[in-house]
Amino acid sequence: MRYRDTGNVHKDFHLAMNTSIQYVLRTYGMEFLRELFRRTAQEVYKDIYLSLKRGEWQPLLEHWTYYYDREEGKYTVTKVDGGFIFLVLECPAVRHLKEKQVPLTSDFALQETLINEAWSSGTQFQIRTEILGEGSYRMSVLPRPGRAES
Amino acid sequence: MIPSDHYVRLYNELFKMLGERGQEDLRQYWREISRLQKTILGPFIESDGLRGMYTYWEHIRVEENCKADLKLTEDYFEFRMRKCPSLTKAMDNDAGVYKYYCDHCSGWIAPIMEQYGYHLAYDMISRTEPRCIMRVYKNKEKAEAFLKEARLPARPYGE
Repeated sequence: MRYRDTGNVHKDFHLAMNTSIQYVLRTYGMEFLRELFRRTAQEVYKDIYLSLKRGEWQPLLEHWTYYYDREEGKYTVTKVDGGFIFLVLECPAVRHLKEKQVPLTSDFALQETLINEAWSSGTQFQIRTEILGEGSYRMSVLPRPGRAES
Repeated sequence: MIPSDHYVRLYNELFKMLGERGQEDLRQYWREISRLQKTILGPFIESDGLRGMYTYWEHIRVEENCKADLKLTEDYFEFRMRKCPSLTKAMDNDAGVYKYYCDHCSGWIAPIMEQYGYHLAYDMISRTEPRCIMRVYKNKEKAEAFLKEARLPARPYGE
């Protein structure tokens, strides 16, 4: 895994994430926000993106399990043929906003939908993000129809 | 979820995108972050002035895993960063660090201090070394005197 943090966690960065999403949408619009997450997915998380292009989903699963565990999120993982389903039951970022009494809007979930969209773009996987409720979502990483198995 | 640990790398990308549009776009964003941060830092300053800043940044030192020393005097509060986790992560980054990454700190802190009648004096030292010295003074002339001696004084709003 390219990045692996230890020590304390400064969860207020989720508040900054929320502010930044709202600010970018209000000031520059959706395409600017989409480009921000594309850069993050494909350039910051270059190793994950290149793995997905090679047909390997394991680095993405390792990244998610490590960081959802680190922030004490609740989730389940179901392996399926050629991919996996990551079901988030309690998102730590949403939990933190609620603890801080920051109003939650549907825009906050754009961090999942847009980064997953960028991770799947041009790779052998489709990543479908379904928002199930406040702090709960399902991310299905599945092979595109017709791709060769890795 | 973008992990808390990785927010600064996304932040770094946003700075690049805003910087491509121009300095004023960066400044407007710093002011937006400043408004958020005021809701967190502001009550510490309101209740206890410089000592409140010490309390806030001591919490930050621990929670953000900073290697830093704090000092409180009659004239100023000092946060002396020996290893900044934020710049360290932005540099340890496959997307590369934004060349003016460090400037955002003074960019969000300065407006808050101004609103409370304090004066920020920030020596970034170097934009490629994860260390800096931040002081907040009660007295403007003393803040300016510190900035004159700084190796790389921060002037986020060009003043």
